[in-house]
Amino acid sequence: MTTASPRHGAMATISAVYIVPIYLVIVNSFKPSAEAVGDPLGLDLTKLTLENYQAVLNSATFNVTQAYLFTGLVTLTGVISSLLVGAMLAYVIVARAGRTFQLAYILLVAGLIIPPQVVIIPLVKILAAVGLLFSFPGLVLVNAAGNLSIVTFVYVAFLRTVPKELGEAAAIDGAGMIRTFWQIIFPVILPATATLFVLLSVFTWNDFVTPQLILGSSDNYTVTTGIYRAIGTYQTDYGLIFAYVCLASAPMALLYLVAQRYIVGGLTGGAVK
Amino acid sequence: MATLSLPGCSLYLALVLIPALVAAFYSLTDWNGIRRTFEFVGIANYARALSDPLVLRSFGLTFALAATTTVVVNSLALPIAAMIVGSSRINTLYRSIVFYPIVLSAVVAGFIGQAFFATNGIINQALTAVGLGKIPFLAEPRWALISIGILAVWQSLGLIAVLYLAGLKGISKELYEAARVDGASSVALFRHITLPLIAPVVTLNVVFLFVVGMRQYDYVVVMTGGGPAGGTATLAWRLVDVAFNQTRYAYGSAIGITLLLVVTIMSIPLLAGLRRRETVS
Repeated sequence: MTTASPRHGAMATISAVYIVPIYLVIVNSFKPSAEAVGDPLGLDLTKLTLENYQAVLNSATFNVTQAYLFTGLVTLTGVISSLLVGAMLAYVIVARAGRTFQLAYILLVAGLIIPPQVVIIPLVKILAAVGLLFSFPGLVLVNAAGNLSIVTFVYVAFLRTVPKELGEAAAIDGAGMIRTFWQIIFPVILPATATLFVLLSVFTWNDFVTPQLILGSSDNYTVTTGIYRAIGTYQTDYGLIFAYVCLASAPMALLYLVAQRYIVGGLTGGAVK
Repeated sequence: MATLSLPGCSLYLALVLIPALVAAFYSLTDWNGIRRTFEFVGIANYARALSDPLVLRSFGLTFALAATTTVVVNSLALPIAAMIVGSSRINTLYRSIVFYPIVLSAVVAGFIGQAFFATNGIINQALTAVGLGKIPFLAEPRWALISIGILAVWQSLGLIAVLYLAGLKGISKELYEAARVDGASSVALFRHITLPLIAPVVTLNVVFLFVVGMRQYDYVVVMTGGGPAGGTATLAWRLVDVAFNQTRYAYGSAIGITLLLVVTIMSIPLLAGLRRRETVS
């Protein structure tokens, strides 16, 4: 073990690298534009203002409430459906050790490494063919399918630690596959479900590539594609940019504060044993 | 039984596997993505990609970015994890601080990065304030790539450190105590106990970061738009540009499939490692 003081010195320095940027982002979001651009490091408490937030809330191109609602619904429905569908699929893969389901499992895990940009072009064509391009259900389905690999992977690893007798005992009692799943298996995988739910919600809310390419230039936008459209690449009004950044991040920051133990705990407990 | 697996299988088939196969199919044609007709051109798109200076440059800079961030993040994350492995209150605080960027969208991180690295951005203003000259972070191709790399390191460090933390917590204390009784030094402990036992986590983190790095897209779109002078045009950015902006869909698909193949080859150690651990547990 190293002695305490150099360790705390190093960790304090590293912490500063993380705290200073977020501090500057928050403080500058409350400064008038000229101040934020001209003197981003200064802090004159008398000059703090809400004008950036007012500008964002009154923006003609970006409606915060609508973006929150749309992204929230996309995230919730996409994540919940992938958890449901993935849990059932994982259960079948573990219960049936046959070749077919082994192959299905390998194909699913392979999905973890497909870059989204590669499939997005045919995906756009498929969605357009069935009339779901630019739409809410289209985006939800694509998100659910995209999450399926990681969901099934985690559930399969989790279910393999559950004794098979549990399901078999229920089967002897005459419970059907579907009832066995809901009454016996689903309660068992709830802890993994909590971690997956929080992590996938964060990733889906923050995702940019998929909504950008699926929603395109239509009227629908998520928080990420919305602020991208509203800010643009060469905007230099930092006060305004940071107000957008804070509003876009607030919901997930809150989720992080509330559910931190599921995120860090799930990663340390579940991902690596 | 089949009923339970049906929704998952159809969803995955329709929206992941078939699109991937369709992309592979069109990469062998000359389809522009809009026209009604197309012709087979064999591997011509792949041959062209391998001799296209723009694609080769994109490949080179994406690889450099992915490899450098992978090495830097891993060599910082492991010592950090070792420093905060204890479960004291202050360590929990450190963990939360380093980990929080994971909840930021890459787009949000990109905008923050842009504000910090711009020519009149926050870092340059701070440099000027202390009497130093400005650095052309986003104005010069090489610096722009470095800036994106710094942002990638900053945002992914916490996640990788937490994964190392998990690996370190799994090592039993008795091992260290026994070795210390035998008079082993701290360096020897790290080399002969820690490193071999967390080797699977190292593999996981290295391959994970490399795969993510090879797909780098969001920061580029937000911070540089591929510039200046194509200096940050990563492969993922290039393929979207070729397929959508230049409507050379077949060629874009060929670039995408090539990227997929490269990433797959790089991921084989990861999948092999994961399988091995599964059979052990």
